[in-house]
Amino acid sequence: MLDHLRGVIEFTIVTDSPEEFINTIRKSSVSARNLRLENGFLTGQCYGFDKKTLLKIAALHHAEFIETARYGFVFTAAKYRRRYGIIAGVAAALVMVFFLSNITMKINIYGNENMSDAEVLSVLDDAGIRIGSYLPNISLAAVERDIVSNVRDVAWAGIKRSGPIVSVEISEMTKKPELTPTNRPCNIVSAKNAQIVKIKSVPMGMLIPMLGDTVREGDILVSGVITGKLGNTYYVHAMGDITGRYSEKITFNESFTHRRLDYEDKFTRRSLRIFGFNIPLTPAVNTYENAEVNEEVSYFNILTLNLPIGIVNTEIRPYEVTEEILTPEAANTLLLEKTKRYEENFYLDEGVTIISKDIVYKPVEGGLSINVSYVLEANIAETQYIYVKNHR
Amino acid sequence: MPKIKPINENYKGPLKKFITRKFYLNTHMTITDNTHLEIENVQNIVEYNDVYIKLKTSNLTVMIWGENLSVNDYGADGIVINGEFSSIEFER
Repeated sequence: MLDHLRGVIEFTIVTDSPEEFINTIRKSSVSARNLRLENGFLTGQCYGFDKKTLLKIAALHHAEFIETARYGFVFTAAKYRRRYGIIAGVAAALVMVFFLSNITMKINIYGNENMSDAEVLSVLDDAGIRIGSYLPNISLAAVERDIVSNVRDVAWAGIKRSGPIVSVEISEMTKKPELTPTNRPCNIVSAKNAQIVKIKSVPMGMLIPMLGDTVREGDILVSGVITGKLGNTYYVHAMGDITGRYSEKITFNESFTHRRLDYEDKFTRRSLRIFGFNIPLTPAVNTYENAEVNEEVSYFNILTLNLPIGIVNTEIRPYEVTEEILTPEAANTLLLEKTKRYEENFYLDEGVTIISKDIVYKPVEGGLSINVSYVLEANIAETQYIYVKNHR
Repeated sequence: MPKIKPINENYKGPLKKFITRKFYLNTHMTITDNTHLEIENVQNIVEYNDVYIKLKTSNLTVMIWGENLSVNDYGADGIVINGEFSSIEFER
């Protein structure tokens, strides 16, 4: 195979001293094979590119070099070297294959149940992926992120490219219906150490504590074990909405030295990667001391085969780090902001009412700390299943 | 100019052997049946035709008798001889 690519010449040497001729060949860079003496002539084979050296050696030994046969791709190609039409046709075909392998010809979409294909295609179109778009210029990871952040119903998006075919897999957000098995016996227990302030409803089961009673965490509020008038015991799926008042203590800390990151606008640098080496296509080099760098490589394709040549899209988002020394007042403001965020995330969004809060400031080494004591009101009912044998 | 002291004649033989062995300069031969012979560290082909080849290696002279003998030279210090060997002789 390799011989056919290189091209092999069969030759005959007419010389008086074949030994000397072979010794000179051995000292040169020529790789000769099948050297044999037939009827007083030295015959053999060598690669096409060694012919010039052999001619020189033959001249040196006053020998005659006769080429008897030649075969291989290089010689066949050399025959057609003046046929410019064929060369142009092959070059055009290669360019076409290369170009068509790197533009989008087909987009496959998987995983969309509620979203239509047209919606997904319009989102991809906004991101630059459409039939005919040049793929190495597009950062697929960035498009994935764009889809997830811009389309509310998409939980995850994966884009894979196989030659000119782009496959988009989408995972939609599906809200699972909350399953409440009402036939399974259970108690309602307290989730907190609390005082019962409101009994909204007890549709099923037997209420144990009364309004104003205090309960510990795990105490039964509504029992699912009911004794009938005739003394028989049966189990029900207890339900109830019981509001309790309880207290919680949270500590927040803030250091006086505050590290602030000031982000600048992000930009993209492109470079050409050839066999692992990057050749910058944009003149500027990343000289930033601090930057978030996200690199993605889009390799060129020929008929779904990845070439070792590709475009590297480097997304750079520089930032500056500023060390700030906070005053106690500023630290206090930040602590109050933290407290507010905590309340919004863990109390107000969860339906917990803040009855009162008491803040105690405490200086710590290099910063400030606050202890916040909350008095809260919330539904403290928690389902606890009863495991019974042969329940009906 | 400091005068270099010549090596004692008694040590020349063992020293040469030692260096030849350590640097793999000795004649290394691989023969397959009586048709294929690979010889390394060939210095010179002294005589050559289709029934007889005489080679000089680093420490030996090798004479190969046979029929249809041909030489393949792949550019290194070794050569490959194909053909039908009838005898191989060595001469120091």
